[in-house]
Amino acid sequence: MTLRQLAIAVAALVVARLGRLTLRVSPRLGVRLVRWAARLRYRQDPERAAMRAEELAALVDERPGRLLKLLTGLGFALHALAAAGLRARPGRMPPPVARFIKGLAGLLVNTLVAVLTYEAIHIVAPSGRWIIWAVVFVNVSAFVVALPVRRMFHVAPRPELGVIVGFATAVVIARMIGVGVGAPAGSAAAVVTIVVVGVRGRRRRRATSDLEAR
Amino acid sequence: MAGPVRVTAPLLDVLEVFLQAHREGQQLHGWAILKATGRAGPTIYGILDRLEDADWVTGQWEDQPADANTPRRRLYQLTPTGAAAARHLLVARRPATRGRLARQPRPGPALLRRQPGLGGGAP
Repeated sequence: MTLRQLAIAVAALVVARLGRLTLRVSPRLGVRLVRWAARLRYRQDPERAAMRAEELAALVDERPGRLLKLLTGLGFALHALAAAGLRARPGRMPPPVARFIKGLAGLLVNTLVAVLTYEAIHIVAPSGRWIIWAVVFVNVSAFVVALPVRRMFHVAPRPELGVIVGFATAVVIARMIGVGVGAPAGSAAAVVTIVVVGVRGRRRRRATSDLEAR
Repeated sequence: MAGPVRVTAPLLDVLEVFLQAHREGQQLHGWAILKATGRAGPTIYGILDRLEDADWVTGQWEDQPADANTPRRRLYQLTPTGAAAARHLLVARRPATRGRLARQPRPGPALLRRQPGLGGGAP
């Protein structure tokens, strides 16, 4: 058995175990989710929130099947989150918070796109014409990740673009020399990028405000 | 008379179910409305909020179940104002409703609870 097969077997066992555990706790989880959703949905009206919390718990209780109970809870929770998001329009938030939230959401989506792009390239061109694909990947990564990062930290484009291109290049080189990298590496690199860009942006803002203070 | 802010297809579905239950002197709980309309839970409870705010529907808790750990259900029924308004709205928006209401089979006892004090006849 190769290492890859062993890893797949272990992953399958872990997923199966997690699945069973989730099914076992899903009724309780469903109830908790709907109670939380009621509190979130009716934040302005505690009386109705308490009423709906109990009522929705009864609804989950009546749903047949453990999975359906959990799905019911998830449905209410997602709906409450969406409603809360609509209520808290960015215009009502302090601009830095709104910018950060928008940037974070964009980053999550775009990181996923970058990682999937990377995996797709690896499938299409596992060897051979990798240089062309590497260039494509570096450019796609730089484009999809740099934009939301800029929005999050409100910094000038060039330095973080350099960081992004650097990390993307590092991933490609690692791939070339045969180091097993993929989604975990992409995600880790994205986190490192966020930290680096965030620290640099903060330093720059401090320097700017110091200059303005003088 | 206050009315629900928006008239939507799910709202009309819910009103149809309520009118049917009203005709039969029964109270509805959330799960019954969900099953009868086939709509999503958050949609139904959003509509119940609007109907309660407009005084078209009133709710009351069921008696404490035998198992004290079981959460109580809330039972809803149309108010007289709500029944009249719902009938008016359905006739205006869904002309076929009157005939359909007359033809609909009575919902099963698992879904509905008979409302004490009402005979279950036509309003």
